[in-house]
Amino acid sequence: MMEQLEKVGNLAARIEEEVARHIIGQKELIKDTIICLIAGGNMLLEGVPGLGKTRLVSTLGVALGLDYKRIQFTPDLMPADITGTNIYNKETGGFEFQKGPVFTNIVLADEINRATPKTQSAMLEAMQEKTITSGTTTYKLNKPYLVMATQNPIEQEGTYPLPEAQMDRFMFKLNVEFPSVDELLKIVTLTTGTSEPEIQVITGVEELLEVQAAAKLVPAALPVLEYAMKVIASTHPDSEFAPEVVKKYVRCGSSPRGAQAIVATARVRALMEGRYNISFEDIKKMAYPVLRHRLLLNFDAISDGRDADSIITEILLNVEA
Amino acid sequence: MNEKKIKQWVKPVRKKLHIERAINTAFKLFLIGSVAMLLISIAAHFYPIPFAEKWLIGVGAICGLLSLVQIVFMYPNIKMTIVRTDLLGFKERFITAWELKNDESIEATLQRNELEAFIKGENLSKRYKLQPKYRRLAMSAVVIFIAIGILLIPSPAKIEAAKVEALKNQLEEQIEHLEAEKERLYDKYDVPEEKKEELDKKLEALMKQLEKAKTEEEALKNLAIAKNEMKKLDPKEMASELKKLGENLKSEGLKDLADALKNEDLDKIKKALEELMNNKDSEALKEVAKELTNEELKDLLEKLAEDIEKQDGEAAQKSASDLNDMLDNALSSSKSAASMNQFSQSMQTAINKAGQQMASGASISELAFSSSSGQSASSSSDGGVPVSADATSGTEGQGEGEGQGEGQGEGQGQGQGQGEGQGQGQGQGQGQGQGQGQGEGAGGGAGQGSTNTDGGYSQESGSTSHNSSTGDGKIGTYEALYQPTHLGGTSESSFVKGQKGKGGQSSFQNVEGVPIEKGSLVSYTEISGSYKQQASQSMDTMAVPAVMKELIRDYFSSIE
Repeated sequence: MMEQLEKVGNLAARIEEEVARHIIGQKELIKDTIICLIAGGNMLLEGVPGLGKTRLVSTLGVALGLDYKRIQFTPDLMPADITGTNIYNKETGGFEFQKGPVFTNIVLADEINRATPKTQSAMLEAMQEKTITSGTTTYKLNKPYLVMATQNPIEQEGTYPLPEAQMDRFMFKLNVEFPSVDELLKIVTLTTGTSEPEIQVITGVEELLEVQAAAKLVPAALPVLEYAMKVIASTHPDSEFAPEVVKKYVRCGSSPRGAQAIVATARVRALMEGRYNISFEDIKKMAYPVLRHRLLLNFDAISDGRDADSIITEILLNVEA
Repeated sequence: MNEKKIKQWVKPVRKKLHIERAINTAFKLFLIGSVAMLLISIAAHFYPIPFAEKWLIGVGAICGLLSLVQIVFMYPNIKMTIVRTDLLGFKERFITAWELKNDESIEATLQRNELEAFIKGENLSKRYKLQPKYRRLAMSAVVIFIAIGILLIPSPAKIEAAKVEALKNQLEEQIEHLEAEKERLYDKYDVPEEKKEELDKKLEALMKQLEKAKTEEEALKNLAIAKNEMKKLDPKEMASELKKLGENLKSEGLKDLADALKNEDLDKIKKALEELMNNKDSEALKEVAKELTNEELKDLLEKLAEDIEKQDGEAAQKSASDLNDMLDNALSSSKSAASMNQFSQSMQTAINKAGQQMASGASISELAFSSSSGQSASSSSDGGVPVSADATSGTEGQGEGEGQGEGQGEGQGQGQGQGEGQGQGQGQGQGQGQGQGQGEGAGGGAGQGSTNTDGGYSQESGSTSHNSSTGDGKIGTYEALYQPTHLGGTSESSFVKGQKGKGGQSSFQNVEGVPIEKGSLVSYTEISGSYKQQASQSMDTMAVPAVMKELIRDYFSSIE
């Protein structure tokens, strides 16, 4: 057991190191990605084009030694194009299920908001239940299974914003920031030269599953869990814990799935920090990626230029540890 | 086991936390105390608060005491200590370990081990920096500074308070002195134990009453009450009656008994009585009984005489035996009565002295206090009503509080009386009296008042202070008279209304007293002359303002 727990930290460190060789900067992003991966959740990456979102996912896929597929979401993409479809087999004279790209370990749903809500919804079952149902048959997806979706916050024309139900199925929403000049320089140097380093496989499915199971064993003290719950409750404008800012700007707060996500990811973070217990700090750190897509802001927030992160900051200041 | 270990780990933090809490709570209490001090000093600026400085010190002391108490009782609990320890950068390691202290699962053990490894080599005591809230201290200092500043600013209320303080101090001093005097007198006069107990209770009540005095007048009044109470202790025992009886027996045949009674010689009394019994001289016994006022003794002697007459030897023997017992008791108690008498007299003198000291030490010298027990009194007053009187020199009144009198002045009063004097007015009362005065008064006893400036008349309850009334009057309950505006007493009070020199209204109520002795009537001129002399002597020995002296002299001239 002890080895397993120690393994989490080691593996996370190795993954981080390997990804960092190919993705310049974005350290927090890489770390959060690994946390989400080990916690067994899906993530939504938001950022302008060209920031390395796809590269991050593909690097991660290779480094983890997992099967990886990319789906480019377009308005004409149909659900069957994702999940798979029954095709007539001339030889057998029957229909056979042709698995779609979701039958993999890591799915990169690129520009997910460009597909129609109908196609987007095709991902719901895969993301939450890790199964695909076609006709009367339900197919289990591979383990580990992780959906990494990207979306562009700027080009909103011809896009279909993700519905709340789907947003809630993403454990994390990570913002991909524009790199600094130094980082930009390194990116250019790395990617425009001839000697681009090869991605090394550092782990496999088994080890990853072990680590995911071990992460669930990290103990949490009751005050810490209570704190996490208070944070979640504070996101609801009707809650007794809600600060003024939430009452003013938030239309709807986090679901219990958010509470599960914040504790699960805090456990991983604690392990990556070399601790065998969750701290208040873990909860605070995880609150941003877990809650930012779960807070539905009202028009006042948009007109006042408030974003989810600033509201989360105020929630954390308001809730006493 | 795990619990002990964790407690051991956090012990240094717990100690420091305790110190920190003690300091901060002390600062907090200090701040609260200083605010209270400020409020007291502001209040003392506008309202007379005696010993305001002591109140300030008291508040400070209470805060200090509370600080000490909280040091003992506010030892931080373990959970709180653990939470605070985690804040030192342990990221909830301690609280998790504490919650899992009874959990022996692998992950719990692992967590504890990780914690142990993490704190290895760590000096938690050093890591915990004390954070005293100096701001509170600074605020307290500022508030105290302001409070002291306000306290130093003079105000009429503070002057008033200073007077009360002086009075209280004097009272305290006098009470201490009286207590000491009491003890000394106990030793000196061999007061019986049972009497001591009674006296202690009485004196304690009187001293408490004295302590409560808020004004100089009240203090003096209470002292007068105390003195009169002491006077009441004078034993009027059967022994004195027997002595009197001895003096009144005139028959030749009763000469032996008379001598024996006068000498308080128990053996001779017994012998004389036995002789009377042997002689079966029932007539002589009846004569003796006739002279007695003590009903019990009288009955016993009469019964003895009857038994002798009836020649009932057995009954006569029994009556004689009862008589002997009674005489034994009477004479044995006469010794303790003498002690009590002496004690009472000495205490009265002590109280007199206390009153005089108070009067001479006080800034207001408007007081009068009798300087000797029962024979004279002197008074002076600050434009009030100087009254000099002597209860024992009060003469004969008639009945209870009945008298007649006339006064000068305008106003109305109640009373009936006859008397000589100058003045006009109405009054109710019965008795006879003589005097001068302005104003009207009505009062119990044969009484007369004289007023000088206030046009009032005051009379202590039940006492007579005049010399021209006749009949059976009352002996007053007060020896000393002191009444600038109001003379109180243990019983009922009298009051005077009026304006200076124009007379006014006055009334007083009757209080029952004890009939005065026969032959104690003294002429008015004799008394007024004696009072004048007393007043003059008192003025020479006491601190009386010149203007008051003038007033007193005028007063005595006016009543001549």
